[in-house]
Amino acid sequence: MHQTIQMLEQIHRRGDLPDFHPGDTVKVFVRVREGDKERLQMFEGYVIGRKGNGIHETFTVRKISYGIGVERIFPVHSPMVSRLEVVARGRVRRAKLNYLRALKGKAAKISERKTWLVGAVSKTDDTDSASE
Amino acid sequence: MRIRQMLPLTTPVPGRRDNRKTSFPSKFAIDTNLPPDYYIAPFEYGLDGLYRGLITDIDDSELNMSIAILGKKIGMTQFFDEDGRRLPVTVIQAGPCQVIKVKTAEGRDGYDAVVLGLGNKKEYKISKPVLGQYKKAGLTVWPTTVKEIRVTQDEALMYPEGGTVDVSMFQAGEKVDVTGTSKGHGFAGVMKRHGFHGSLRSHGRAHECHRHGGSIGMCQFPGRVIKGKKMAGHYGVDTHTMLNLKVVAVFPEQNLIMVRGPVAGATNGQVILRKATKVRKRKAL
Repeated sequence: MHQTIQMLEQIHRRGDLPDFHPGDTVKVFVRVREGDKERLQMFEGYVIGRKGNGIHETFTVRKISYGIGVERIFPVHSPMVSRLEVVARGRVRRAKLNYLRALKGKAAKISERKTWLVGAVSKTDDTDSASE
Repeated sequence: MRIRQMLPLTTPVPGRRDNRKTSFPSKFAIDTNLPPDYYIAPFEYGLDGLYRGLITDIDDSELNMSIAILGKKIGMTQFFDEDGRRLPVTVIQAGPCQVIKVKTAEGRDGYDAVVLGLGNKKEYKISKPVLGQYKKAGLTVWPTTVKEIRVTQDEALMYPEGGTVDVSMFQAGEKVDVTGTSKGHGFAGVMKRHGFHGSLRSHGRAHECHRHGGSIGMCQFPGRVIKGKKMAGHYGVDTHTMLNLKVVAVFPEQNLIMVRGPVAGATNGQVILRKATKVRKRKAL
């Protein structure tokens, strides 16, 4: 990659997100703009994959909302992701957990990884009041 | 480029959103009480990762200076805009360009144009007649590439002969046309060159016609192939101009400019940035 592009990608690169992996349960706080106001919206679910690298990297979060599976894809370095909290570390043996889409109920549960459960709560990068 | 007023990121500022077909209320809503020139509210980004501020007030004379410059395509990446959207951007290293000659219709050339040079060439590589032209123009750096660009008379007179112009003539938020030379594909078939669909891979189509174009005409009447029929041939290495690309960010210190979307040509290809010529006019409010 061109050195100049690497330099420019540093502008939006962020280092404040905690270490998270596929299988982890995360809370993603997304900035939602309504008119002039801005609030935070929480999206909680399993990370079922990370894709891409560098500034282009994205991750997919899947949750079951009122019985229906919902997935959202977030750019890791997006300024719209206000902060990210890791709720639980999951024990999985895949990098992409697409098999979860075919499973329901108890089978779609990811068992928790008991080891290296470190304090993974990220610091908030802004002072906006989070509506949780 | 001057930043008149530094504002925090969340402050609503009138922006150029006239062409945007959005129905949701925006922080860039247009205030109709302001003069039309006021609506340009580009962002300027700093390399330190922080927003340097919003340019809310631009001098007209500075804006008119955005005319034409030579550059080099660095490559593509993505950039987040002020609303958090991911934009595909092309990074162009533009200028500083030496102004070798300013031609005017009144002068002996008979038409309006500027001759711009880009790069730094060693003196022993330049022939004496060419070097003489550069010295006559008052240059101190010898360009590697020289390009003449047709401009209007007013625009031509804004170029300092013998001086340099750089990327700071462009402002984030405005629109430019970018001309480049597309990548060469050699002698290409109709599927690659014209997007034909080809024929089936199976079902008896076994006689090496999978990527053929099919029939090229009718019967004894007209008895010829119609002119302009799309066929295989040389593809690429054409001059292509992308119209109305939005300038996402300008970095004058690094001579870099980011435009939204792709630009024809390979990395390190030469491009010409021009002020957009076919801008859609504002609708009456």
